[in-house]
Amino acid sequence: MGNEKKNRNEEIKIDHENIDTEDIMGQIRKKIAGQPRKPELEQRVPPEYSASPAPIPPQTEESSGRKAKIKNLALKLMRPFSPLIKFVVLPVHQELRDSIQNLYKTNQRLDLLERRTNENFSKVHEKLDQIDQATIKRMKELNRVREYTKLLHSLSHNIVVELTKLKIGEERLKITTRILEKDFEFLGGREKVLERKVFE
Amino acid sequence: MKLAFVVQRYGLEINGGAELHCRWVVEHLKKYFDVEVLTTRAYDYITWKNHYPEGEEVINGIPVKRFSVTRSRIPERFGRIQNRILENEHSLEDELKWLEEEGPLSPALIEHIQNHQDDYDYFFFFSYRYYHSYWGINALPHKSILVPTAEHDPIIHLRIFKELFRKPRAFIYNSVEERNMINTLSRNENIPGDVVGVGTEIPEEYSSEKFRKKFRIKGDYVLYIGRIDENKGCVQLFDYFQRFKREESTDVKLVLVGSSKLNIPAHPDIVYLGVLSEEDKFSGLDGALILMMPSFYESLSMVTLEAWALDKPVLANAQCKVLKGQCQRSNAGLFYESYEEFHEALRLLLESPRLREGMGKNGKKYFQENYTWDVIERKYLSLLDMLDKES
Repeated sequence: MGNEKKNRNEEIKIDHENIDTEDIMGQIRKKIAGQPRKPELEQRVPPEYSASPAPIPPQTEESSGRKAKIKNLALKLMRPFSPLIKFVVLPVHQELRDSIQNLYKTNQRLDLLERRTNENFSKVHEKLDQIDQATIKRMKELNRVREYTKLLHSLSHNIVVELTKLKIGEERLKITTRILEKDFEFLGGREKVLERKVFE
Repeated sequence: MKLAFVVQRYGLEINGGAELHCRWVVEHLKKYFDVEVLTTRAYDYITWKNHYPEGEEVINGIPVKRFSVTRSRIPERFGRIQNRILENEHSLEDELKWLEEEGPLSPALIEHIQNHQDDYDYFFFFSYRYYHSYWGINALPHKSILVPTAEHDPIIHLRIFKELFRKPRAFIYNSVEERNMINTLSRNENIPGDVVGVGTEIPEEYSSEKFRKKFRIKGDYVLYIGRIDENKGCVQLFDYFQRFKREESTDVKLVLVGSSKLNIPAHPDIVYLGVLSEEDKFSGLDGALILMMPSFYESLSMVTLEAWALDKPVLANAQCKVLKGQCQRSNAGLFYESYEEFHEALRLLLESPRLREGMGKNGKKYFQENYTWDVIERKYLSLLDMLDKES
C-alpha cells in the first residue's frame, strides 16, 4: 500500500521550495485525462455508507470450461460490432453524449424562447392592429370635425359680410330718411307760405 | 471626519458574512475617525423580523442606531418573485419590487440618511444587493462608498445594479475577481476603488488538543467551517467525500462547524459539531489537516483567510472564481471542478505532509502581506485621504 501511494504521488512532480498550485492542478488534470473515465453509474452511488459486495459462489473446473467456450463464442459473434462497442464504451462517447444532451437542452430552451418571442410578437401585432383601427376611426372623426369647422368659418364670414351690408343699408336708409325729413320740412314750409298766399 | 457604516444587520451575535466584516472594519477604524453604525432591528437574515430594540445602543464602544423593518420577508413569496425575475423578461419596476421584497425594508433608515446627510462625511454601504444600499446610494451618491461583497450569482445581472455600480463615490472590493466582475458588468472603471478585503481576529488562546478532547475527535480530519447550505456547496462536498472514502482506504474524517440548513448524511466519518465559539473554531482549525471550501459563491471567504493565518492549506471549489483566484495568487490551496479533480487533490494533500506544510507557509505569507489589520487600515485611510483631496 505504501509503495502504491508513493508511485501514485510520484506521478505528480512538485517543487516543494516553490509550490505552484496551478502547475499541480495542471498535472492532476493531465493525469485524469489519461485515465479511463469511470462509468456514470459508479459515480452516482447513493450517499449511504458503503455496503460490502455480495459474495461470489465458488466455480467448478467443468463450469468454468463451459463458460470459457460460451465467452469465446460470444466474443466471435460480437467481433463485427467491435467498432461500435468501442465507440459506445470509450469515454469520448460519454462526452459526446453529454455535449449532445447539453445541446439538446439548449435547443429546447431556444425553442421555448423562440415560441415565447413569436407569441409576444403576435400579441404585439394584434395590439398594433387595434391601435391602427382606433387611429383610422379617430382620423375620420377629426376630418369630419375639420370640415364642420371650415363650414362654420365660412358661415361666420358670410354672416359678417351680410351684417356689414345690412349696416350699410341701414346707414343709407337713415340718410334717405333724413333727406326725406328735410324735403318734408321744406314742403311743409312751402305749404304754409302757399296757404298764406291763397288766403290773402 | 465622521463616518457612517450602513449595514443590514449588526450585533455581536451575528458572526458571519458582510455583517461581521462591517463590524470588524468599524471597530478597527474607531481609533482614526468618529464612527457610527446605521442598521435595522433585524437579526434573522431570512425574514428580517424586528428583534433588537429601536433606537441607539453602544456595542464594543461603537454607537449603533437601529431602525424598524416595516415588513418582514416571506421566503416563499420572495422565492416566487425572484424566480419570475430571473426566468422571464421583466421591467425596471419588477426589479424594484424584487428589491423591496429582498429587504430589509426600512424606509426610516433611508429617511435618516437623507435628513442627516450633513452630519456625516462619508457613508459606507455594505452589501450591494439590499434595500439600504440601493436607496441609500441613490439618495447620496457623492458621499457613498460601496463595499459590494458581491458574489457571482445571477442577481448581480439585474439592471438596477448595473446603474447602481456607476453611482458611488468609491468602492472597497473584497477581491480582484469581484472588482473585475463589477467593472465588466457596469463599465465603472472610472470610479476610484481598491481591493481591500478584511482582516481576521485570531483569539489569543486556541489548542487542537483541547478541541480533540472536548469533541472526542481522534485521528486525522479535514474541516469545513461555515453555513451548511446547498449554495455553499455542502451537498456536493458530502457526495464527493463519501465517494472518496469508498475509493480510498483512509481514516480521515470530515468535521463540520456551523449552522445547518441541510440533512447531514449519517456517515461514521462525517462529524457535525454545530456552531462553535471563536476559540473552539480556531482550535479546530489548528488541528485540521486541510480546510475544505466547497462554496460556489463567495466574495472573499473569511474562513479561508483564517485557515491561511494558521498555516493551513485549503481545498476549494474552482467553480467559485474568487476562491480559485485566491488559491492561485497565494499558492496555498488546490481547487477542483469535478469529482476526479477533488479526489486527486485531496489524496495528494492527505498523503503529502510536506506539500501541506509548504502550502500552509505560502498561505501565512499571503495573509500577512494582504490581510493583516495594519494593511487593511492603511488601505481604508489612503482611500479616504484620496477622496478628501479630490473634494
